[in-house]
Amino acid sequence: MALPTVVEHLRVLEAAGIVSSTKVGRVRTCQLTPGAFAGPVEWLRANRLPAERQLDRLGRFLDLDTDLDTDLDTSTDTSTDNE
Amino acid sequence: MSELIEHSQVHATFVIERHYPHRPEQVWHGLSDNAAREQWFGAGDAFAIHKKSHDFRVGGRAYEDGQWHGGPRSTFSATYTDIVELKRIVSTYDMWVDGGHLSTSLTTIALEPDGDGTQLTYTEQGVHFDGLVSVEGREQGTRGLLDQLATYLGAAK
Repeated sequence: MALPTVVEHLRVLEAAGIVSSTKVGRVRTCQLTPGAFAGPVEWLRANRLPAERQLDRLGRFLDLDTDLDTDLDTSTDTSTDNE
Repeated sequence: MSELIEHSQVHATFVIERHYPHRPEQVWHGLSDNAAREQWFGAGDAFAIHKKSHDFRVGGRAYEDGQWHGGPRSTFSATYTDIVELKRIVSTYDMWVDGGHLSTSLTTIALEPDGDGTQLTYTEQGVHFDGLVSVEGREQGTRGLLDQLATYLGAAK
């Protein structure tokens, strides 16, 4: 990657608050900003959660749907010792 | 009026995996059968349904419109684009909250037999508009925990 490209990438990351940099003489040092990803991670979690909850509800439904288990089970029932 | 909205679009992809101790036929029934799906799909008791429909076939639509108790109106509209019996369900869906377009997403549900049960892989690829946040997302703090507790209690029974 060419230096100007790297500089441009770093500028975007810095504008987004993901990296910060300091310049001493001719040397610019960049570092990852602590906690910079807290916002995006929280956002992703919030968007992922409804789908996760729905799949949990599907699981609960399947657990309770014992009539269906019997209907679909054409082989010998060997799982009646639950209660 | 729309000049007041700061328009933005954020793309996100996530994958959720679940193992269910039930055969693919049973999981498929829960996903595809209208009466079965009715029992788990949706937002639960905190949500009053105004209009709802589900047509499980390629090109068929799923629609859900309602109101959070004391909260905003929410609309879900999906179209099935690919169905392979017992193996795969692909759909696109849109979400609106109080008339604001929240997101457009592509979802893929893949089923695989896994021992005596089924491995379900849910992949969602979406574009989220204008920084709007879903009600479910906003309420995740408490509701999420309560749901997890309920799931745990159901499984431990």
